[in-house]
Amino acid sequence: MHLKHFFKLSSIIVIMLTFACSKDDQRFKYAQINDIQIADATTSFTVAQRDSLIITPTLIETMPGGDSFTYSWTIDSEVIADSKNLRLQVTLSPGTYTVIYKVKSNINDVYTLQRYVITVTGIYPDGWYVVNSKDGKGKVSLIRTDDVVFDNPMEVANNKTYSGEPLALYNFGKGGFFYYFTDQNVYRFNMNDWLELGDKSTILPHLATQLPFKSAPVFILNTSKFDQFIVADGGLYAGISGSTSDDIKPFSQRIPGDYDLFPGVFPNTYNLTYFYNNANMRFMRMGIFSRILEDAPQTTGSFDMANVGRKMIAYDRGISTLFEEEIEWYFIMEDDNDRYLMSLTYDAFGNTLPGVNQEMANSPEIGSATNFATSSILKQLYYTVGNRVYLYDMLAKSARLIYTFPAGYVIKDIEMLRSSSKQLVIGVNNGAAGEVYYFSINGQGEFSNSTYEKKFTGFGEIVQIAPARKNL
Amino acid sequence: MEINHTRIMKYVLYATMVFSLFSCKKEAVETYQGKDGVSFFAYTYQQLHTTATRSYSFAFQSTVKTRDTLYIPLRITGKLSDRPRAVLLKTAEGTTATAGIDFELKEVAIPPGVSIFNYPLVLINSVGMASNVYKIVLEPAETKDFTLGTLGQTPANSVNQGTEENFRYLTIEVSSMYTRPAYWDVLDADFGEFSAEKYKFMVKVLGITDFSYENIGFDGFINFPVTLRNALAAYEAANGPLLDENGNEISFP
Repeated sequence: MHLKHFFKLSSIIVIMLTFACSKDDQRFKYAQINDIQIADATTSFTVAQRDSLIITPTLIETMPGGDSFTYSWTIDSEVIADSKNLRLQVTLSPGTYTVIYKVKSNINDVYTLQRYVITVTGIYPDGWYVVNSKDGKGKVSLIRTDDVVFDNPMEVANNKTYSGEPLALYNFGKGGFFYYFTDQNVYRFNMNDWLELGDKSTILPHLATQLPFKSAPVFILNTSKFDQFIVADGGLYAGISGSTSDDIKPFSQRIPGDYDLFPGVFPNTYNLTYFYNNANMRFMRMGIFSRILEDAPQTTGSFDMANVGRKMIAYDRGISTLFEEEIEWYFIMEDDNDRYLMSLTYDAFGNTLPGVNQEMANSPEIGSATNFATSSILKQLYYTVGNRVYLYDMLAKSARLIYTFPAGYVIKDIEMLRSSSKQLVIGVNNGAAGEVYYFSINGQGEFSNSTYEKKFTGFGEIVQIAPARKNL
Repeated sequence: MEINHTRIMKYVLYATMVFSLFSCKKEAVETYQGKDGVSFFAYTYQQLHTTATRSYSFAFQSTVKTRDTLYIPLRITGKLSDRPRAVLLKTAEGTTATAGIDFELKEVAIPPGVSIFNYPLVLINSVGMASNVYKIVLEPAETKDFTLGTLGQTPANSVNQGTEENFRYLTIEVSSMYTRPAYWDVLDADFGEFSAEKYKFMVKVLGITDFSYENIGFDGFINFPVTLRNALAAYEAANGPLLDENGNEISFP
């Protein structure tokens, strides 16, 4: 029985072994296929919203001419084109995107991929806002960083007319949007595409005085960026700014109290934002998330914040800490005799400190100066009178004339490029025609080559120059 | 030997096949038999199953009401029904309010197919409520459709989002007095001390009756006092100081 099985099995194994191996002739046949390479040196592109994105890949084939291809361009698995070259008007929101380009052979389905990184910027991402007025009608123009000038983007973007005399424009400071004040309304616009996001009814629904504003309002966030302030017609309005610009809330009613604020808000420390009461010529302050406007307490040192005794004329900012939790502010003050440079600064522990307090002697025409801009890297200040620009040295306590525009020109506004303090932007009116000049500032604080670097013309009468990315 | 083995294996195989034919039999599944139940339920953190009470004041309503309905959430245990069923609550020990004068409990019909139901407790703005806080201790009453339901905890899940308690007794305090709401603890610093007159002033100025943080949000929490201070200043300019029920001058910090 067992033996029978053994023989049976052995025979099967022998038969199998006999046919298991056979000699291979080792003749492999290779068919040469067309190898495709995408040989683009540039694989990252920056494009503004609504501009065209054009990518023309260079394909290198090892066997050109014998193949046809299927192309596809995808963003996040969504096919956006199936042509060899990409030509697309960008409708994406600002941000960074990865575009995958796929070239597939129709003969053998072999494919090759290339990845492109696309950075979409707002159509109006950065530059300088020029608030100006033509024939009694306000508008905001933009000089983009690439020097392209947009005459009236908000009317183009929203396809409507914004009437009223322009008063002021302030960037939100957290990105997202900017406020535009006219004598008849307040608007909020998306800073990337300039689409309108709201007006007085959602921004300042509790304005104490009926519009029009009597003077240009001001806006700024506090240093924590959670409180926002507007001073309009001497009254203070506060609102929470939201964790993002989307959940922003309307401003409060006028903060109660007997005061008449100078149109300026001075976020100084993480907790405290200061204001100046021109009615009794002393500083006032408000803590973070407080809605109590109180008199600033007495200070010793260079001056008493509770008793300044001078009228505020102008202000600009000085140095700040890395994350701008503390900011230094310069003030131009005036009494019956003269004008003074004063400042609020901060100590190493983030507490408010009265800074300089000096009479602006040896400063030609200082009594009639209308515009001021301070440097955040040099102890210097620029002021203008008529068509003349003066440079005031805070340490030497004297000023000198550094530039004169042609006769008939009147300087309307000057702004320091805060990120570097190396560029001064000046808006000038020649009658009703506005012009904007960029001046480069050299190491001594003077204008490089004693003249302007760039000049832009064609604006209406300029009211204000404002930086697009900062709110001061 | 071999033959024997084969034969035994055969028998075993036949036997197995025969057993297999009769081994399984469908058995009827036992289901819950008996009257369906009803109980109160609330999130555990609300502590309504232990010491906490629900409170209602006719004073805190935006309009003057003679009657109002307070909805009491009930959970039904047992099978869902495709016909309406009757549910009723009754008072238990500790009740100081008077049925028919301060409140009404009626048998109501639960619509078909529901497992959770809001029982309408009718409160009556009685004369006594102007000077008293009455207690109504409720428990489910036996009806033709329901008895007392299952009690205990329902674990948190994606629907209820927090552990819930199913319980027998629910205490409700009702009055028409301005009693300081528990949420005022949060408002003390920014709105100042509670008083009935202050509360009335706030309702008039802001047009809402619920000033809990959940309702007014951070924006209301810091900006409503601005509105109230302005309104109070306007009132004082026209009428002099606004006094509360104890003769103290009302202010917002």
